[in-house]
Amino acid sequence: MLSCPSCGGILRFEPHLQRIYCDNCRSNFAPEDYPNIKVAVEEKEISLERSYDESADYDVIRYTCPQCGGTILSYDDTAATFCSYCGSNAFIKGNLSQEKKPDTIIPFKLTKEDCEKKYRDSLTMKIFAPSKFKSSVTIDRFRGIYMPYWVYDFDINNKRLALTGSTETRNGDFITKKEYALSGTLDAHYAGISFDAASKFSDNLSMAIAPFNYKDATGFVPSYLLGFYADSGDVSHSTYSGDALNMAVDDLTTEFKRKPGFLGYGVSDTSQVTNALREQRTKPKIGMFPVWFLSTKVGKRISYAVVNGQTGKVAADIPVSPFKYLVWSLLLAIPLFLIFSSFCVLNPGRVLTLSLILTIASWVISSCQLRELYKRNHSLDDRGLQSMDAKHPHVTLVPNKVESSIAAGFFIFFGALLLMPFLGWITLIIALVICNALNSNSYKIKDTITGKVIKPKIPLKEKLPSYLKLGISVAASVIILFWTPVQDTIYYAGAALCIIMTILTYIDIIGQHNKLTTRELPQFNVRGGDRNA
Amino acid sequence: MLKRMSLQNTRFFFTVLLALVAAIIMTLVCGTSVSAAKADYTNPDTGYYVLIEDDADLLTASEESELAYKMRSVTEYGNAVFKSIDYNPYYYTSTFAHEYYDELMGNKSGAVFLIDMDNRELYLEMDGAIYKKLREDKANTITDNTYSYASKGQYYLCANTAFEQVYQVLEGERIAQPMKYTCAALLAILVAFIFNFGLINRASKLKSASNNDLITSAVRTVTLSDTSARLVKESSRYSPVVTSSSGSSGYRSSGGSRSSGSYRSSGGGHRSSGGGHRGGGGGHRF
Repeated sequence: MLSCPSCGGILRFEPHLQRIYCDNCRSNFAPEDYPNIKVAVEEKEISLERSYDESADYDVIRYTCPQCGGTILSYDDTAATFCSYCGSNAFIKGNLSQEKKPDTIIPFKLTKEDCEKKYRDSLTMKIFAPSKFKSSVTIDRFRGIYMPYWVYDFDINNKRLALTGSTETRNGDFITKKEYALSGTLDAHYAGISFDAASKFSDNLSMAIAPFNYKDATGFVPSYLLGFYADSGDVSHSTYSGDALNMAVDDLTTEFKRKPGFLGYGVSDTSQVTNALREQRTKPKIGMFPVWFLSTKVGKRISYAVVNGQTGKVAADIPVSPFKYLVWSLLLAIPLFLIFSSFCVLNPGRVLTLSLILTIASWVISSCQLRELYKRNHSLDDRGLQSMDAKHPHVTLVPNKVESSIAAGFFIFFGALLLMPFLGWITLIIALVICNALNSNSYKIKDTITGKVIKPKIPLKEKLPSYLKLGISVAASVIILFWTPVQDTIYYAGAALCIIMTILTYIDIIGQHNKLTTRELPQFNVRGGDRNA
Repeated sequence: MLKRMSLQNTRFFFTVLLALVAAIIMTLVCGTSVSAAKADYTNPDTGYYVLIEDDADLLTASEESELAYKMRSVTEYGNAVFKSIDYNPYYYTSTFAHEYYDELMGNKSGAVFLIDMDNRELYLEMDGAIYKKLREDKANTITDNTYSYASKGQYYLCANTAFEQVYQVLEGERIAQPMKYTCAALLAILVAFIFNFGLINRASKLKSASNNDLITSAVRTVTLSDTSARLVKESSRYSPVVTSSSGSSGYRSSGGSRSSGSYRSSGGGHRSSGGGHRGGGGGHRF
């Protein structure tokens, strides 16, 4: 804890005032006036200092979780109460540490109360969320953490460019093509293209609360950390440098097409722009961006919720309570039952066909879930973590050329629905199988060095429970439909088998969904987390 | 002379007209009398009748008379006809039922319970007031509830139960359809599971910020000065405009006939598009 120079009260950075504030005497100070914080060797005395420290490091206390190995930086004693990454309560006090001083910081704008409100608002429509996630005890564990980000800047000064452009205009039955040589002097400055630099902070969470408005960024001084925590980065800046460059190139190209000098000339060749940006890029900076962070333990796994401490954007892993799912499904089934029994002609053959279609649809859903799980388990959706994983350092996820394979699947499905009256139910089943095949090809895993496509191998034990249930019911139904027995009871038995097996499959699907909305307990000294969780 | 010829023509014309009218009246009267003559019972209040045509000889004489007696109650709403055949000139049972109904009753209210021994299928064809109350759904349920008797060769019990259930529905009573409700319940639960999972999946998607969002939140200034554009090449190519009104080169039929879909007995009946009756029905194999 850092004491107030006036009264000895506890000091913290107050987001609404954007100043250091004393809760006791209500004094407040500009963080820039106290650019240095000195921690005594005994770690008992922490004091604000007006003196400027030109060194590249700053003093802070580093807390390490004995459970997961996660570390957090703070001047606050309460950091010792629990770990933000694994949710463990056993968090020992840390040691004085000299950390590399970040270049820039975006101070918190949202207080804990603001963040809690945003989080609660985001949960209002999540009716299937376990009650634990909405309890005040859980929400009270939100912790304000400055997360490290790589900040990429590009500066092009007075660069003479020679570009090409072309336009096509129609004149009656003729198309006239004009090619131009364009030249101009470019001054372009990009500051603050940012990507998270901590492998602990999953890319899908960080991208979901992005962007941060870099206009609020200021020079780093440790006093901004008062009352908050900070993390240190471990992801190499090269991980995202290509993405940052591509973003700048795309933006410049778009700008060229809008700028009066080049407007209407159809700027096409941008290789000079790419080269200029590549040459002129500056060394990436480390920025500290404000994130409210909440971890909730779900069995042997962990769920994270994050709130952008500047804009209030919320992203949360919210698993599903199987009990609530069951209750809400049964409630919804009541009006559906009334509709089916009142307005639909349900003869045994139709019931069986419908159940079979729904079973195959569930099989498609289950396959999608398993593929998503594969991506998650192999960190294919997390570039930062992937770059740290020795097993898959050069593997990347490439969407197939037909990005719209799912859309194509939908077309096939509804096309089959139209053809169904003429060709029968078999059309729909074939369509669903094609949809499933298309979906399985929605992304490719590519080795970035060899260029080889790696086929995702989903372990048998993961897919067997659902596939077995669905396979048995699909096989039985297809046999019945081909056999066309006279007895209704056989159709009804087939339909009942399909429906019961599919409902049981949904228990597996919810389990898979909950695995996707929670994460393995982190093991920061053993990369990749607890795979047995 | 001319006047005489004209008078003869007029007489001839009226004679022909009278003969035609007489023929039409005779046909109608005879037609009605044929139906009435064939009827096993005619309801004096409604004029609807009971008819049993057991061509397949499935019922004994006593069963026929007993069934005719049981079928009387249905005549409050329409004609009640039992028909059995051992040869179906049409491919589908439903087609036969439809044609038979059309020929026998036209658009009048009624119910024909057909046992087709050729296809081993039951069919309940209806129209008018009876169809309005039963519809395909109930017709299917009734044949579902009775097909097992036919499978066991208990044709009297089968027909009797069918007409009993027709009357029950006409009287506003409920008929047992436990499997229908069980299946509707199970289907409803399954659809609810899928729908709710769709909601969950949609709500839990973490939407990543776009590249445009990321770049616009950065601080950026782009200035382009001293620009010049020089035309270096100009070329033209012929590319005629294809308008949609010019028509396609391929042959397109402008209309023509289209074969109507086949009658499917399991599909819950059919609707005729011509002048026949517009009812429907439902059937079951046995």
